[in-house]
Amino acid sequence: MEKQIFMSLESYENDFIKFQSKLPELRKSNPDKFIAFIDGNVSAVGESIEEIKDKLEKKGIEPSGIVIEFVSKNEIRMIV
Amino acid sequence: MVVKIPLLKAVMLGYERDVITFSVKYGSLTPFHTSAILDTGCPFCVISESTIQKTRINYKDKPVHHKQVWLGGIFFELRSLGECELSFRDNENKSISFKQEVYVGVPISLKKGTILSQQLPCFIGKDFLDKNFLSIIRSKDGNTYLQEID
Repeated sequence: MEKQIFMSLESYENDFIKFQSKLPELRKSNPDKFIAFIDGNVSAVGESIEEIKDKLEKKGIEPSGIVIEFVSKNEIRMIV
Repeated sequence: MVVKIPLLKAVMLGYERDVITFSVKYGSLTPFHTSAILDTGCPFCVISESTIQKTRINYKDKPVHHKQVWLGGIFFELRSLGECELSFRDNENKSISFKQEVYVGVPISLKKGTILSQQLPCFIGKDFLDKNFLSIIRSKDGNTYLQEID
């Protein structure tokens, strides 16, 4: 179980890196939408996290291990 | 053995940040994965509301520990999830875990569904670094690590 979770985390990190590299094009293709990003590709698009969860669960995918991000049309800049 | 966890460089909230990916185990539920900004100016470890919504954790009934926390022009309340287990991938590609108090950051000065509230990231804060004697180390080869310091 622990090994599975570790491998899943590694997969999550790889997808997070790919999501980052594709973010400029995702802003154009999916502005102001939530997306689920799996294996380097957009797997689901929706208006809300709930919609994305429903779509993933219908595909038999557990959302909690997936890169799900909101892609804003315009980049927001914030100093924290 | 010295703890050494590689960090990522990622653009979050418009600027390049030190970012870390990890899993969070809450109670008996399956762990969820997330990314977080490593922020020495943030006193707490905070999971964003949009991240916690990926899970089945009912965070809305958790006690509010900090009301009206101001972050980047937004008021939050921090709801306590209690002690969770955070697991990371170290530089030898092994799993390393820590117990940590975790809060959920719920925006209270923004309408639900506004664009900004949906983009707020998670934060690994100073509490985690202090408790585990970890510092951000920038090596000359360009890599950045979270590393245990004697």
